[in-house]
Amino acid sequence: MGRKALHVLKKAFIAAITYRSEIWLWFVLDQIPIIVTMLVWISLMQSHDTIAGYDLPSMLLYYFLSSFLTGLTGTHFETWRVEEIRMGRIDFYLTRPMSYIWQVFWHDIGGKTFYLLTSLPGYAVLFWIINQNFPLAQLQFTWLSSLQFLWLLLFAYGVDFSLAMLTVLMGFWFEGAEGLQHFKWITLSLLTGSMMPVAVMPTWLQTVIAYLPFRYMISVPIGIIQGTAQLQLSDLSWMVGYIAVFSLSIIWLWRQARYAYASAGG
Amino acid sequence: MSDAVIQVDHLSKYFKVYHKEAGLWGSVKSLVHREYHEVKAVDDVSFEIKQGEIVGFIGQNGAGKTTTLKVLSGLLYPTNGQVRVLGYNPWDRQPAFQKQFALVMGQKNQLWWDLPAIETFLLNQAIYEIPEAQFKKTLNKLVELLDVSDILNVQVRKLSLGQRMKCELIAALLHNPKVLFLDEPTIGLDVVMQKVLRDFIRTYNAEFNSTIILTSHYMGDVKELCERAIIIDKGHKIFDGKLQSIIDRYARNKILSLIMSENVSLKQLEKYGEVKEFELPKVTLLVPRAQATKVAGQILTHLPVLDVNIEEPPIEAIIREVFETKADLQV
Amino acid sequence: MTRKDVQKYWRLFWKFRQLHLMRTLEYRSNFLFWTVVTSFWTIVNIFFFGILSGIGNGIGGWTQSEMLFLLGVFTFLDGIIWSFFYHTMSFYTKSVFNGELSRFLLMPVDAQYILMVHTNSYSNIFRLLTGLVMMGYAIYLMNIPITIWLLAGVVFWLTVGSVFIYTLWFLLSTFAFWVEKLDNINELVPSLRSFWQIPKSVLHGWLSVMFGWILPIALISTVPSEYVLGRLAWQTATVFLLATIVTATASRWFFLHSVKKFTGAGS
Repeated sequence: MGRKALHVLKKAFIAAITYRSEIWLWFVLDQIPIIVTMLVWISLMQSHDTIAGYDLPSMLLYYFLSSFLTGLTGTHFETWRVEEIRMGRIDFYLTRPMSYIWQVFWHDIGGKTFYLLTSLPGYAVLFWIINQNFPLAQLQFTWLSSLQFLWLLLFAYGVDFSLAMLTVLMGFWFEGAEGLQHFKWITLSLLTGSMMPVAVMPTWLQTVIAYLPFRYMISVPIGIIQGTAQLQLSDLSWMVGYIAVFSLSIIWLWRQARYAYASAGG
Repeated sequence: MSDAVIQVDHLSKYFKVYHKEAGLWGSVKSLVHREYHEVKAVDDVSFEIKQGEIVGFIGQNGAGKTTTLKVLSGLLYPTNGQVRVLGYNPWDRQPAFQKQFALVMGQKNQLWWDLPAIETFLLNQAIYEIPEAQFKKTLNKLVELLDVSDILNVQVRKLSLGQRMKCELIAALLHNPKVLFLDEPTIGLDVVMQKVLRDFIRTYNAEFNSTIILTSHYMGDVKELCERAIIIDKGHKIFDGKLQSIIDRYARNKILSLIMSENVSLKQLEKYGEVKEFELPKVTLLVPRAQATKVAGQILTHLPVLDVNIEEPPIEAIIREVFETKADLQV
Repeated sequence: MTRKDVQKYWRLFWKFRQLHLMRTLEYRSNFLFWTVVTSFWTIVNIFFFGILSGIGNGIGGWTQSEMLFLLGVFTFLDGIIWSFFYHTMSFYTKSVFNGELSRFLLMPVDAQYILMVHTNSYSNIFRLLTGLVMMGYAIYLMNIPITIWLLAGVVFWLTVGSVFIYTLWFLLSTFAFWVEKLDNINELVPSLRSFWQIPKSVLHGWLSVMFGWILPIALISTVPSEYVLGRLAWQTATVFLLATIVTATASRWFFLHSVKKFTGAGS
């Protein structure tokens, strides 16, 4: 499995290199809404010292980290994967001695590796530029917080990948299934806290978010390295439970999907 | 210049392509440095075509046939040379010129996938400003010739490839173009549909005196429709003339197909020519062209033959030999 | 261009609208689904700015009602973008790469025009209507009298804004002729929408100069809004108008220059 995975990963990495301009442009595009949101907060904070417990430096840091985490853990393969399935072009995936799900996974990791390598310098530059104009709050890294942060990164990617994979598998039955990714984006942007800190949201929404796994993707990891949050055992149980639910859903749906697949042409 | 409808004078079209080394390191290297090579898709090609001619463009994949058609249509700008079609510079893309020609590409389509073909026809009527009476007359004629009256109101995505191709042709011909560029129009079609399309093209040419350039990998298309052929190899024109003259020059042998009434031995047959097939009662011999009739007479005299047929070798075999031997066709 | 040409182009515009409506009706559930998706995005966006606006009692010196109007302008223009521009530009960049552009270059109609009008989406009607309602409600809250001049001015500046967005987008998308496979050049303008989602006064320093004067995208929603609020400075209006004219001219020239590079996909 290791060698096969590495092979898929390598091929995806090469594919990502081929269209480097696109990838670099994506990085730039992803920063624009965040920067504009920061400007709005700067404008708001001119008449407020703190909002929902955040001062300006910690608010700006929040958005910077939100952008970084979203870029690191977000997936974007729903559209073309669903199209592949709809056009009946996944034959060669199915005939390989490697599960289609794992192939999609390692392919995404390969692309993400390239994105990470090329975007890290960009994030460093962005951090420096923002810091020059508005001093950002300090990050609080301890061994424990770093471990928790790493675990939450993996969790965030796992959830995003799972939701994306479920969308892709829906493509075996529904034309236009890739449209479901919009619901993923809308939901995650609101419920993870990437759009705004959870503390700023109305109380009723905060209550809803408390029962969902999505806050562990952005809001909680940022809180951990800002020193405003800590993971409890109950949090870990929730996360493990959600991962189990997503994984089992994928396995079950994939079993059904194989019967529904119609190969194209002939 | 002459009264030719299409005049191509020393046309060249070059492209830049980049070569990537295989493997991960090659991909990383290509991030900072790419090696570009010039590809001469068309190199110093000249020809003239008169009104009403049907000319076949023959060439292997990548020879430059489609590139030439695209230059004639005004889609590509030539690197060098001059082109006139119906007196116009194609890449000026004047509407008056565009209303007089059509380009049909067998692998590409203009019909709206989700709607019946008639909707695309109506759209083209608006785009080409075809008066209502003329539109109806032309449409009815084309529908009749191609026998598609029952599928005009069916969604294009539900039609078979052959039906779609017929509708593509109608869409391309509604404005009665004087010049028609057909790029592999029969590709992917079954033999029956190929014949239908060939008959249609021949009839259309006869009725409207349109000038047609046809590219096809099916030699049957070229043989049935084109008296004249232009052969292109690696961007160069290596032949321009009557198709029959290639056959006469390069078909060294003729094929004798025999049905024997009694058994004969292989040795008996080898006296008369090269035996290509020996499955009694069916026998196929290759004999030198000049001696074909004489040999046939000898076989009929000395062997128990029930039936004999003398044929040219298939045009595909002749053309293949032209390319394989890089024959000097003295253009 | 003759009167006959104008009539032809006008007829073609509506012909394509008709064809797309027919196509939309073929896939009703698809239309419904995307209408729900776009409505969701619109609601979440309004929700986000509603919260921010509520915190600071406005943004960048603009009151909540004024922000409501500006957001209405943004939402309406968003409806225009997603109805008319996005699919057009996606198709444009893809067609340069896969050779489908050939079809449009062969037609006896201006290629840029036909690229612009040949496709659209009807799923963003909710967004268009929401924008209009927001603008109307904000005007009501602020007790601004509705006059012919007000309406004409709003229509004028919304049109200028649409033309500016379109021609800027088209200019950028035309780079597809020069760079191999640059699909997401098409995403640049949608990302830049963030800048006209807020009043220009939020921007300071070099950002204000860059996006308020040099490439005045920050004025797209601000100008129509300031016009209605009666505080549109002539300098701002002039910059915005000039930028639109320059972008429109540049996009046309660049397209005509770039199309000579078109190689088409081989067959």
